[in-house]
Amino acid sequence: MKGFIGKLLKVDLSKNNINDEPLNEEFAKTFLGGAGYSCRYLYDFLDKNTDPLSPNNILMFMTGLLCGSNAPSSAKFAVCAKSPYTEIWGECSCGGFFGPELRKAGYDGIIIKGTSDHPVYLEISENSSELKDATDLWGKGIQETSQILKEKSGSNLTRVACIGQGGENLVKYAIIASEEKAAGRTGMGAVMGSKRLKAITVRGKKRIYEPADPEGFKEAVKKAQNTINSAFTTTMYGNIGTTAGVDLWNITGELPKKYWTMGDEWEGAYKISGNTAAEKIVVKKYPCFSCSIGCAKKAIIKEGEYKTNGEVESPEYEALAGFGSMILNDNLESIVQANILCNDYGIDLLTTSSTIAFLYHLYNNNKIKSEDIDGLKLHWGDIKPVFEFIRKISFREGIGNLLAEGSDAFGKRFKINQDEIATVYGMEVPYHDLRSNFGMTIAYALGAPRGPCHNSCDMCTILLGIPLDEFGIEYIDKFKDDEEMAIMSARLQDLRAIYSSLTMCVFANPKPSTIAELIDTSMGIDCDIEKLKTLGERSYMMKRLFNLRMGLKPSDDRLPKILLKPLEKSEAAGKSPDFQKLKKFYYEYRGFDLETGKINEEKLNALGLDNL
Amino acid sequence: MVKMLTEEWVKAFGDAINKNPNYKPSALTWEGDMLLVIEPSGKLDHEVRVFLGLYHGECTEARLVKEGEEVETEYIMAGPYVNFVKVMKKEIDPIRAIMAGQLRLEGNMANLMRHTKAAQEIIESLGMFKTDYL
Repeated sequence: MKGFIGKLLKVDLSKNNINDEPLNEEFAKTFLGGAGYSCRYLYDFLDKNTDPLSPNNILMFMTGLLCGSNAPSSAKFAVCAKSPYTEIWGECSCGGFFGPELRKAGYDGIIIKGTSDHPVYLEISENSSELKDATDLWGKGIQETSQILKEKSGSNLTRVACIGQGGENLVKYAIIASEEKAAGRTGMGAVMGSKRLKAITVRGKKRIYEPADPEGFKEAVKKAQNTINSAFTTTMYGNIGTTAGVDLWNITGELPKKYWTMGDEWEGAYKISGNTAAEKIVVKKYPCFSCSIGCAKKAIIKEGEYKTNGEVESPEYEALAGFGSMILNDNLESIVQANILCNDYGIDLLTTSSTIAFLYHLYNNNKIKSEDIDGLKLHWGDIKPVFEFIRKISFREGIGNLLAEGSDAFGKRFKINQDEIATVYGMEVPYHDLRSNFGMTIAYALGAPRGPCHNSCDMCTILLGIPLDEFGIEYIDKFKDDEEMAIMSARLQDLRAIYSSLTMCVFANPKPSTIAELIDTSMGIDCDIEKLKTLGERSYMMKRLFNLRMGLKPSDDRLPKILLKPLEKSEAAGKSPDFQKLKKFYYEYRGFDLETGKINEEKLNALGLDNL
Repeated sequence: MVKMLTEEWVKAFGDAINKNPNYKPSALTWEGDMLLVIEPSGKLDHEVRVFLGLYHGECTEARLVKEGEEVETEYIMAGPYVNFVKVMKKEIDPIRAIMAGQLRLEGNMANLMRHTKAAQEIIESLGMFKTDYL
């Protein structure tokens, strides 16, 4: 089948068995690869009783249709399984070079089941694949593990995806990292750790992206590239990164402060913003394969307490918010340090920082005491305890053992009302305050496939004015909580479901008709805008079906009061969406039953999902 | 009512920036002049450039740039005449116009992003006095 390699590597760690499995062409045609394909595949094997950290969970690394081609910003790979953190659909994606390298080695993806009886790593090349002993790597951080494996392979071009100590210790929100990019959310690193799979290395030399219509594909790539190159977001992310909006969002209320409780313009934001970082510490960008944006940055801190040993990853937006404004810490260099620690131990920065900020909130409201948290004292603005918590979580030491289970587990132990915890479906919400953009309500709490997510429904960016009208996504007032907002957000979820199948980056927004052309000319399946909409809705609904199978109920679509209580200041002062109203409109549009959450038959039939 | 793109209109624009209560607080640390490049479209058949001297929350100078005159500024905001008109008539939000590529913003990106609100208020000021469009 054009656009795909046509095979996946299947590994059974319990049996020490590796073989090739042919790509399911029907799944590929209907879900395009990536997370969509993975969800359809895993649906047949996982259910409500599957323990996510048992040998029965299946971990998939899956590239998308466009991965390895020169289509812009489409080199990600998806990592999917049942999430140990939320116990629903687990999905995250990672940029860098691992995905294209996997395709160069001759595979569209990897399916991993079972559990090894000792630490191993999987070495993949185009000629052979082998499980190797990783006892000497167990206990090492991500940087060191990657370096050792590259040296062992004899090539710096060998690509490594691995876990750190967080994954080994089954921190429920551990990450998998590759080339300083992370598959961050939903705890896929813990699944990998539970299988005692420390790393996967891949080296391929074939350049084999074969579109069905090479000339047409080339033309579509050119169109996509032109649109992306001329977009303001490309300039913004390329020059500054994801942190470019901090100064503005400080005023609009999108930047959360003091664990979601403060709307005032915070002076500290200017000290930590991406714009300050660009002037003070950023030295260069390091783009992913086939990306002309280059949102990720390298930084150097030349002196002081947080002096770095050469170039390190510069914090992205979620780090600045999580270790900055959420605890009112205005020391940029200290955030760089927290960022390095999370990424090297291999724990999700967003979940970690939100869980820790939750402790600051409780401590400063006299709901927990110092003795509850290993004697640490938490004062707003003081980041020092954060470093302790990051280490304790990663090694499950002391209170870290409970914190490794996340905010809800901590809240439950200390009898904190669920309405005071900024989680939905058991996962911490990203740092784009929904009170400043009501579209984020749907991103976080209405049928969100993997739980609260700013990538599967990035209304906060789209409603700045990115034109997607071809896909039926019109520009609307960000403070609307009506039927139109429900529909626009649902359509954006569908579009982003295509992205997660193509493994494209949401920062790249060619016209939807160009995306249809890319699919059409790559696979030769006669794709247009209407078919693109169906592909997106089908992928979205597949994840909904998966979640229903895992036991998701309409009552799980909820928001805690702490996220809905209107802020007193900022441009969003006094504003809060009517959640129940949005829920009703959203369910109606989606064809979800308000009592059971199930998708109506008409919709399933239309999408060809009626047999599931 | 002043005729758009005349010296009188440019002066009114500069005055409007200084009278805009939201501009000064958002631009207290802004240093760097801006050139508006209004490109031919609709009823405008030639390019018009407007120089804005901007320093610490004040518009220090506003004038039309003569044809052929070389001007260097820290920042440039450019776009077709019809898109500037849409913003002035509040048919489109200035940030949306920039994000959607209807207006282009060039210059030191870190400084611009720090002062997005100020850039927005400069454009908002265009709608704060009565204009007789072309």
